Amino acid sequence: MQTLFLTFAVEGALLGLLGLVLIALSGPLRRRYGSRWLSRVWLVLALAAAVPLRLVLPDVPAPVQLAPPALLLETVTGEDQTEKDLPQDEEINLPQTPIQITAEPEEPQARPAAPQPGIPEEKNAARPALLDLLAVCWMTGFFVLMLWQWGSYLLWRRWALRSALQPPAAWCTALKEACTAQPGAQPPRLLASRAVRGILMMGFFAPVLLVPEGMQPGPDAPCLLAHELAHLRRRDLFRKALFVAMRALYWYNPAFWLMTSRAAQELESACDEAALTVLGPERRDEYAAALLRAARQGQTPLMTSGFSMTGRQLRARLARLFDTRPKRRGRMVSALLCAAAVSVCGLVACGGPAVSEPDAGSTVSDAVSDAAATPAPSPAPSLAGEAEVWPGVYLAYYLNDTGEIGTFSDPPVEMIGNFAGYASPDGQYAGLVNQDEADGTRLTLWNTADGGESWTPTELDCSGWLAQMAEKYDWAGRSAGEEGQAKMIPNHYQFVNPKIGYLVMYGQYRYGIPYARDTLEGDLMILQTTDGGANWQVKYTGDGSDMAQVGDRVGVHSCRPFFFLNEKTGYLCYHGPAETGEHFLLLRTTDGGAGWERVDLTAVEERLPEEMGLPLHVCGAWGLEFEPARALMDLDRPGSMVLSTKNVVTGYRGFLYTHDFGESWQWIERD
Amino acid sequence: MDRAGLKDKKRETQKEKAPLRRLPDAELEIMKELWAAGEPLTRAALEQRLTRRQWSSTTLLALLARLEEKGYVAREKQGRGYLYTAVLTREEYLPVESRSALGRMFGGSAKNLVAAMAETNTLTDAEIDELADFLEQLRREGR
Repeated sequence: MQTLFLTFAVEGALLGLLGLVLIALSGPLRRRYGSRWLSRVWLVLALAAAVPLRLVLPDVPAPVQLAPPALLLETVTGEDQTEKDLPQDEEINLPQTPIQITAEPEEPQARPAAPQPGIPEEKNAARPALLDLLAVCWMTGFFVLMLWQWGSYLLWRRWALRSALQPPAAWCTALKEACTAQPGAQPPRLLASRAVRGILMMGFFAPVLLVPEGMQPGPDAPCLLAHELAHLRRRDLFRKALFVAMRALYWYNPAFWLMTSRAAQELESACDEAALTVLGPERRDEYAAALLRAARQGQTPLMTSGFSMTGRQLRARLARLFDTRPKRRGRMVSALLCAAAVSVCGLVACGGPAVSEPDAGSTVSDAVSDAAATPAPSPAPSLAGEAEVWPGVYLAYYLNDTGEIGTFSDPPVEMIGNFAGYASPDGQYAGLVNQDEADGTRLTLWNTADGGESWTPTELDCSGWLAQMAEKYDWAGRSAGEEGQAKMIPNHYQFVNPKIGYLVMYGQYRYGIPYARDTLEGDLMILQTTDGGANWQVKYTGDGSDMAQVGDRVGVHSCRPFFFLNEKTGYLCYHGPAETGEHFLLLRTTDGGAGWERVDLTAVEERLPEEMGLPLHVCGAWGLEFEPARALMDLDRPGSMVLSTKNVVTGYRGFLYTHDFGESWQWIERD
Repeated sequence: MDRAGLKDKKRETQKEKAPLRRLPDAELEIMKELWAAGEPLTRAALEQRLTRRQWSSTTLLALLARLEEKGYVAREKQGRGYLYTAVLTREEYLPVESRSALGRMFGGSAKNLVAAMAETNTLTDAEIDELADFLEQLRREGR
């Protein structure tokens, strides 16, 4: 509802502005093009305002609500000492032979806290609440107004029809003559009712012409009947209903009250033009006099053809009747104004959240889908990157049921172990990183560029980093001198194209008796290469507590918590401390892994079924290896990603997915 | 007994019965046709006048039977069929409508109802006179 409210609010503001401009220009426009032309323009405007284009347009990209990444902000703030000392972007070289990494990462605690995304925490929480409140007020106002207007109309209609009788034969004759004068006019049902004081038309699909009970058709009858039949021919009652709905929809917007009032007046004038076309200009005086006499009937019900105007409005209407200047057709101006209205809607549609249906070809069941986030307070950085990337990859090439590694048969036996890996969609490129069981300080990067025909190992000596971690976290002291082993555990190894790749690993110290070992955690490290693995840059090292600002270290022990889309953008399914109430978060980097920020999933969460529970638990990433997830990807374009979601209590599962590098998100239930 | 005598007798019978009740739409529709005709009608004549409702003969007969039971309609044998007469005049029935929920809601006045829901622009006599002058001026200028 919040999304709908925002959509209509923005659309209403822009179209209201356009309507006010139209009101300001209506005098000259009417003189030049006539009331019928202006009435059509009002209709287009009302139709544009009635449709929340932002929501009905399919797959409109919506920016994720995030502030600029931490690293960018830090760079802007200047070069303070702490920043200079940070280890990220530090070049290390990985030759084809084992090397010793000598880089000495600084204390991760020295890293300044990343600025909070967008707005302060309190405001972040208050904004949705306020928006919810406003949305509820708006919706309540809409329903109350609609209920009142339609309810009173239906009551009056019932009252009028129950008391109606067949009219005198003279009225039937007058109507027949009036219909004869208007080619193609279908005579409506004619009734005499005590509920009306003048002639008026009502009913949308079965129109009824009501005449006052006990009244015989006077000399004004031909003019008034021509007017009512013109209303019928022009389907003006539908237009009036649309204007009434507009007023209810934008009840809080004074511009729309003014616009609908002007549109209703223009509609009457347009009907006058149409009626005079039938009657002939020579009866203009007679028609105007009939209108003036009809105006004495006073109030008329809404959504009928009756009109109720102020003296000033009726004066203007009479003046328009006598404006005999030739009118232009105004097609070009119509087209321009319609284009303006459509552009306004288009701008709104492209400016924020959208809702689209789940992919038709999906193998998972249809459920809720939604794009992410309300309009961002600041422009989201470009997420697509510049490098050409694969449209998805296979992830985590672990042992399959037949004992093979992924689809690659007969892999080097040394590759099997504790590892992470990837493969390109065509299987030509693949990589695994595994840990030497005997010497936990060494990792081996296995790469192939020929579909697994040959594998090249590259050793990565992590002993230096582990020594740093041992000192930083006091592994020796905390293990009370018990013998243990420091290990670097690979968590994620993925290339997005043959050149750009990521390696994520974390340090750990295990001690105590075998099979019942205790574990002390070290740091998480994110490395990036842009030259196919020849050189690696440390993009991040630390315990992850600064990533989501929840005050505790990040947990990356679940399967595939990372997924990278290109040289800049990547996502992390963050598992933080449960006691903070922010256990499950989705984080995003836009600088290759150095800075991380939360992704606002509020818009998606609003549309989730109750069983899913909140906040949305984003568990991990699925690559092409998982068929249901693969079905959600669009392999014709890069930037597809699928994350699994699950409520650990109810077991309810789903997928969170994107086709545009995470610009917009959708959610679908998983069978 | 002539037709007027029959009507009077039936009316007395009706008055002895329960107080007048508001009729459902379908029954009111039949009463309206009988009132509009101003004379007794056969079932076939009623059917013809109510073609728009597309009722079957049995539906119409059932509705007439109900109206007769309520005392709103009387029937008189004529040949192989019956002639149906409205026992109650429309003027006698209309106050019943005003006592209905709808009537009570708006004081039984359609004007009140309209006033409750309508655009509330009402022209005064002075404004109408002024507009008549303006119209005269337009006419003169037009010529």
